[in-house]
Amino acid sequence: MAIPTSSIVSFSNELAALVETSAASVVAVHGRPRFNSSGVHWSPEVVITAEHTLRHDDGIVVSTGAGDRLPAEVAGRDAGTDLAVLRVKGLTIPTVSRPEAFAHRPGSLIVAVGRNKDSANAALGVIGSLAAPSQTWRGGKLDQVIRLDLALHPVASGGAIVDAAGNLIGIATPVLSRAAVFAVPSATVERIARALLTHGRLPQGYLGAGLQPIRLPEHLTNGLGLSVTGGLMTVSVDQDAPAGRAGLLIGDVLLELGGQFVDRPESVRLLLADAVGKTIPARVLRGGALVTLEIGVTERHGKH
Amino acid sequence: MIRVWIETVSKVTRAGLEALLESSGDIELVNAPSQADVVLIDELTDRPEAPPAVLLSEETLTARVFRLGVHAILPREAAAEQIVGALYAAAAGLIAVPAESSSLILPAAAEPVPENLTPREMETLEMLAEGLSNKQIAARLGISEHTAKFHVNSILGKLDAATRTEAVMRGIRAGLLKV
Repeated sequence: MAIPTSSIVSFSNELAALVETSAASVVAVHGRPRFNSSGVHWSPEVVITAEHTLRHDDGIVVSTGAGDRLPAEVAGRDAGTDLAVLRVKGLTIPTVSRPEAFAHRPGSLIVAVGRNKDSANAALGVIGSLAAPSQTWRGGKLDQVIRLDLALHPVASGGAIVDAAGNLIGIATPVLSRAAVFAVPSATVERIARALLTHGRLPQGYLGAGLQPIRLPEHLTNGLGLSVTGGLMTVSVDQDAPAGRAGLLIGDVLLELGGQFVDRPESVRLLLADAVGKTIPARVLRGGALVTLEIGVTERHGKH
Repeated sequence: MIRVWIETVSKVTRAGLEALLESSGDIELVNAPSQADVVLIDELTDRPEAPPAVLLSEETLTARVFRLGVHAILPREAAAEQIVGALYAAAAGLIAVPAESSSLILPAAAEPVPENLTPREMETLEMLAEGLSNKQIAARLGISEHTAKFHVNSILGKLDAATRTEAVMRGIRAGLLKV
């Protein structure tokens, strides 16, 4: 039985209309040589783009479909989630449509909408898989892991990933995984953008302790009912910082922070990434016994 | 198709690796190292004449380690694709390490020691740990953005880091920064 051609034509026209509507909120971002990237008009005069596409902090220009070119100021960057926030004075295009909740499933149709100089740039794909909130290999925190089955053109990095209704799912980026293009979810963008617009950076939690990885002998850990093989020895403590105030002593071996085992100081830093203002428990080995300290995490303040 | 012999200290690790490799298609797990094209180990030991080894550990691939027959090193938490890739590479007579680790040491070179940072560079590194941009660093130090950028680049070079995030991680690992 022949497929009525009108349904294919309808689908095509509807897709094109979807792209046209979405692209009205997408700009081209000129922040690197060769290919431009894309940016999404998130809130009035605020554009979100892919951090890795901005070579420098200055001299960035965005251009609209109508051909208007406007200078952009970097409000802040987060390499961990590959997001950068730009302030663009005088940007009058519509802001992108953002739904309340995310209700999509693997196989849901998505369109990547970017801008290639004057023209919209479209790519069709589906949501490949969804996974729980997670930390990227670059140390950023995603509210949800959205892997796409999509061929993303370089110009579309930083562009919009929209669903079949034209609502924004997230921002397109190819750098958070070697294996797939990701959509950084709107919830993550909202969180990061708010922090970057307010502080110009992401507040990073700080303990104020110099930590050295050490191996723990089995007789010690078995005797305490622990299954760890190592911990972090405290070799220095800043008395005016969270760890010092919580009573961490030189010689304390940090085993757990916030309920997670720690074996490397870098892991501690990642664990503290969004802990500013929180009080978290630290389990340490002190003189052969287990002690729990409550640490009120603050930001690091540079000595200057 | 390659034949792999798994030799790990922990039974749990062995079971996990067996499961991982069994579902990776073209790999046959053998019962003795003599039957293997490549060996998967998690501890560095003196090995007699043996097939090339892929080592799951935090070791660095120095000339000494290479002479012990280790042709690839991956972190213990390496993804399946990396382990399988490393096994194939070692079986084919290649050397493999993760691209992000830059732990490939040329023969005769010792462990890289971070060049001493100047006091200004240490201050700047602390600010990188806060997540400040060049502009913000310049404002804090009362210097030009150009000079701030110069300090940042110098730090990246001395710590052998490709990005600011990497510089901070290396600084932490080297004991230059508290966490």
